Amino acid sequence: MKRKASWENEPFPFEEYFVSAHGKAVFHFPISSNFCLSLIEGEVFLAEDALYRLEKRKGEVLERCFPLEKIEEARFYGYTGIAVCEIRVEGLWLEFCRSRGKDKKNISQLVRIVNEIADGSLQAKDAVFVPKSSTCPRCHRPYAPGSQVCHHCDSKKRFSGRLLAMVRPQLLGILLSMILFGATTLFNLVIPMIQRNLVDGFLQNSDIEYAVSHISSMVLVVLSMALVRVLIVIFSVCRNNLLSRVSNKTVVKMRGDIYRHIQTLSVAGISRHTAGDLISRVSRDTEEISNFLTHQLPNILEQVLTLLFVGTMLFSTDWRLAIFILLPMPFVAILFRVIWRRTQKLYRRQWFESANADTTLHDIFQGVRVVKVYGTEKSEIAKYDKVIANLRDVSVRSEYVWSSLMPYANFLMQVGNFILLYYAGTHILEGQMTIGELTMFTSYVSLIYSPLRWMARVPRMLQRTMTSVSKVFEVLDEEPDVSDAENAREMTIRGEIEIDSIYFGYDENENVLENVSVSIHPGEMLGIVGRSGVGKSTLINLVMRLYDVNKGAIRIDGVDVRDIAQHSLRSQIGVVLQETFLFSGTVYENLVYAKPDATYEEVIRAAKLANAHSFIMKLPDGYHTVVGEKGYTLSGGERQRVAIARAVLHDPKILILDEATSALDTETEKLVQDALAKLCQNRTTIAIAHRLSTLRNATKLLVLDKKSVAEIGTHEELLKQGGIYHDLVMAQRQMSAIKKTKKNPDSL
Amino acid sequence: MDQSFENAVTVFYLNPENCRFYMTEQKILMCSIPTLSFDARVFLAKAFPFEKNEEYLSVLNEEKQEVGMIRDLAVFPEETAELVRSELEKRYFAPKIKKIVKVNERFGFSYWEVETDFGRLSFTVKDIQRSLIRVSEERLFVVDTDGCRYEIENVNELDRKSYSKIQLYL
Ligand SMILES: Nc1ncnc2c1ncn2[C@@H]1O[C@H](COP(=O)(O)OP(=O)(O)OP(=O)(O)O)[C@@H](O)[C@H]1O
Ligand SMILES: [Mg+2]
Repeated sequence: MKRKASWENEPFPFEEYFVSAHGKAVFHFPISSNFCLSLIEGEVFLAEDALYRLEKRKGEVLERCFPLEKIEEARFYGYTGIAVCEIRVEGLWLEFCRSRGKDKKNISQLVRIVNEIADGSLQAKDAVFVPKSSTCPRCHRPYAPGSQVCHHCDSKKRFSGRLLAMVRPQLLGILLSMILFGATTLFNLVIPMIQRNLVDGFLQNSDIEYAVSHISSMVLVVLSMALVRVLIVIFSVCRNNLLSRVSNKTVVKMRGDIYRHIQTLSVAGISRHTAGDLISRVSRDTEEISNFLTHQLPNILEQVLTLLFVGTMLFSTDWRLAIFILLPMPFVAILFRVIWRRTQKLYRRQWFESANADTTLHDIFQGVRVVKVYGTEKSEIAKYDKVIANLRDVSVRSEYVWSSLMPYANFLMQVGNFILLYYAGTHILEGQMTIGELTMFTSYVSLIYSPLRWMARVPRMLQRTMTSVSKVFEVLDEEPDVSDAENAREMTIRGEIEIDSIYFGYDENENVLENVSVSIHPGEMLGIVGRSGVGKSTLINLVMRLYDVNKGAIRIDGVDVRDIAQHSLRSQIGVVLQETFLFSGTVYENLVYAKPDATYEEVIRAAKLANAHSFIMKLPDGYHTVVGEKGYTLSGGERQRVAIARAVLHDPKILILDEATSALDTETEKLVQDALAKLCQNRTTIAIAHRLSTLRNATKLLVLDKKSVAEIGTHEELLKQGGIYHDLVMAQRQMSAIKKTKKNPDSL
Repeated sequence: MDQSFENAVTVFYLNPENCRFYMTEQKILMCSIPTLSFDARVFLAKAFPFEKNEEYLSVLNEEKQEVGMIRDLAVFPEETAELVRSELEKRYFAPKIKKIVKVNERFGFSYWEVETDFGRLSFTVKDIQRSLIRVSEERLFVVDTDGCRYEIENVNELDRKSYSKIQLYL
């Protein structure tokens, strides 16, 4: 209870209050609305006949009630950190409730339910409300977005179990290398013992004859020492080889797993992360985990073994001496802890700063053209200078902590040796201790401090690994939201597309498209026009099923796209996206991207069709010219033509062109258009264009406006209608008329 | 910016002479602009939310298209300004952080517990470095996972304990 209180004030028992006043509610959820610079706690209740909002203001419970039959419609607004539900009562809108951004899921659900009740499709008593709390019910900490798993409560045990499962194939290798680690450690610890025997048994003996007579056994001792050394070398070599093999395999496996999983996610799922974020999860975090499993973990074993073994050896040889030696240990440990506490923060800071420096550089180089064009090199240099100055300052500070505290730690460790020397010296003089034992002790003392120094770092190391682990699992836990249905079909598409009153929004609360319907017969060409940002690209994304519609359906040849296997669907669609993207690689590789087995002849034909052949032939290496990020930079129109060729090469049944020829001059566009028109004769085409002449081959035109279909029909029909399309055509005609007169003033 | 720029684009600024804000019984903000024969519900948006809270406000119609701008709310009489303020309150929730009680970082998320002008709040931030918006050397905004903004007016004026909790990220 105490822990809860630290996260939340004790809530007012709205539910009890409500039940005593009105009986049981169908569902309810808490809200907190900002009002006159304070937050007011409240709760929303849906009863069978009315909607209530209860709020606690100045110690009193305020209640607002709206009978359901009076509510005509509800509306959701998502603002900056606020979610609002408005309702229409008797033709007038009013704000029913608002709350902090964390409640927006609940509020949008409420809006949906109220709307369903209003249009009669739902009885209030049957409403199902799934409280989507963004906080963990156990610890009251908020969840990560898109996740319903609390990272705080998710026990480490579960993580370790899953981690082990992930590296199971390599488990044997890891275990084996751990054993090898243990063995080399033990061997290392045996050496001081042999040394003692050597010193005590032979070297220290002044009786020459004894020594000579036992020379063979001395040789044996020396040999055994050499043997142990050799074994150490052999074991280390084996261990290191094994380790690098195992760690490589784990990294590769983990990367493969994550990469494969990311590929199954939908566009929406992937765009929840930035590319950099995903890259770092695939590469850096897996590296970190594998490093932990294959290096740190055996290391822990080694250090623990050393500590235990040396400890027992010291105590069993001479417990008083052992205590003396260990006396400074707590101080050393504390000092190391201090150093780590200080530097840990600085190191993280250093890490941040260096990441920052990287980003700054990345940005500057990416935008180098803009920098040059505006002549802002100087200020960019100054910006970078500042960033690296920060980095330098932090580095200097962490170095400073180390260099000013380390000598003390070293000194403290020496203290153990002084005690040892004094104690051992007196004991040797008194004949209670041998020189051999002294040698052994000194070796052990130097060995025992290393685990100590190392232990101080363990918590930080573990935390870093856990962070990586959880980041990796976070991606792996994401369910692919556009997934193949169980009975997804492979089918050969004829090309009939039916868009049946669909609703869609990228954000579930804000529709981009509403009630859009259109059908296209095989071989037809649909042209889509509309203002920038109206949702044209969105509509084709839905046809390709990069996203799923919220309501309604898209059917191809009468089959819902959700029932068609995704790869089957997309392999029969050819697309030229608005943002033409070419991979780094040769023109040829880019062209055959969707059809790797295309023949050279097919490639050339496709390129010719897209009017790309002639410029490709002018490139230094023809079709083998490297383009993309590192290579030859193509012009905007050239890139588009390569993209068109890529789209038609695999002979798609449905061709989608999103502003595919927008960067071409009108003449080249016409050439491409005519070629496409021939090609399109028996395939379905959807084309988006702002330049209306692009769409002159369209059998049907769709004008999108204000989220839905404004006009639909053929060019002539729409012209006659005199609506949006008519105005657009007129505006563009006027434009070209002006151009003509400018070019050719006589013709006036 | 010279004359020609001004001639090329004109921004329609609203002032007490050319418009009237009022609120319906349902507490819906309305605006009537006789010259545009506009009289309907309006929405507000801050053009520079990090710097100007009551200046450069965009007044939008139901279709979210701008009908005009308020250059400075101060030119309006106090009652009108109050109406506009209460509408802005519905639109922006950006508490000011007075004290940082706790910042726990775990697995790439940080869990904050802070004292604000709205009382004690807790929220989660993903990837702190990318969620801090620095407006100036001392002023910054923290964006939580729900898109809510929390303002720190002056990092140097935070008490030592609070400062030390976020120092790392500055
Ligand atoms: N991935 C996305 N996430 C969130 N919103 C998006 C996303 N893509 C587009 N939008 C929004 O959806 C709306 C429709 O975008 P869309 O790309 O479909 O417009 P469009 O009609 O193709 O415009 P244009 O003619 O400029 O290409 C826009 O308001 C845009 O900001
Ligand atoms: Mg588009």
